[in-house]
Amino acid sequence: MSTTAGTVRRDAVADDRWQAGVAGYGLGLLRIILGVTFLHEAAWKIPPAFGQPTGDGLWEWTNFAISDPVFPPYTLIVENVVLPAFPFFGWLVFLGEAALGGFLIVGLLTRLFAAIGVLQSLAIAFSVLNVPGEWSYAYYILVAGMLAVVLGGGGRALGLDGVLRPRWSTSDSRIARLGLVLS
Amino acid sequence: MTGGVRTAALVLGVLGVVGGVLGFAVSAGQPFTAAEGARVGELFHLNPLGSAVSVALGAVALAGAWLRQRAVVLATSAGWLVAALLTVAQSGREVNLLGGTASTLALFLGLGAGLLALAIAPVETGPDAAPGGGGVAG
Repeated sequence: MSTTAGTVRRDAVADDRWQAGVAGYGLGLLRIILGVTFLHEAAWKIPPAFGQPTGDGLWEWTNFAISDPVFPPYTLIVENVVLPAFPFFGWLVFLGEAALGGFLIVGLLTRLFAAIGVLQSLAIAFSVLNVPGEWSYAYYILVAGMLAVVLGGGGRALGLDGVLRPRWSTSDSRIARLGLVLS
Repeated sequence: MTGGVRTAALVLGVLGVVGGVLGFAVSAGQPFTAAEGARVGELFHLNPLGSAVSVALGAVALAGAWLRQRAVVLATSAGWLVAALLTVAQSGREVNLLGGTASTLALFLGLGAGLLALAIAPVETGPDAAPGGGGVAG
């Protein structure tokens, strides 16, 4: 009887470990999809004016935070901080989204970049959530997906973090310690 | 350069080569340094020169990883990062040598930073590891 119970427990533990491994791969796949999403979406942020003179592109989408407000404090920030210094914020989006795409796809320093991804996804949501025709759930899924990658350390399967963390953990160097924290 | 680090560098090298080959396929007929590169699928933009750079850097990274030459992988990571800087400086302008956009920058950054991290990864320590390992640049 006790042998049977012990076998069942061992099977359950083995099943849990297998399940955890599969979940890691699922999270890795989610991270890659989110990275590809940002890589794809980065393409239409065109420097140096980012659509300001013609009223399209990133300029138009940023202005949706004012024409179709979602979160009043964010609208206030866009109106008084972002638009007056638009080229600076355009470059920030250009570099930020490119970095999100690149680092999330290869799974390097994943927790850092997914955390930045949460912030950027919130900024996007606060800009366009109420625009007629937008599917608002897409933005909830984007934020939730990024959060899952942050919390789960989504670069440890199908990513460079998974390859590098064992080596970083045996090193005393500052870079290695930083890598462990940010992955 | 051994184990998973070497395998990961091989994968990144293959990604660079495949990206460049696809770039050649979609940019066929474009001027060699067209400012607006052709788009690979719904992903990144490359013109024929950008495609050639991607194939060349990917192939050298692949060779470096295959031959376990850390310095070669490090050099290709520098090459990708220079391509990334060039894309930042020229994207959206009249002269855009590689034909890239922010999407292309994502590709270059991912491959450059990824290969850099692999090239400077601490050497594996353990019973089978060579003595003196463990340093970041080892």
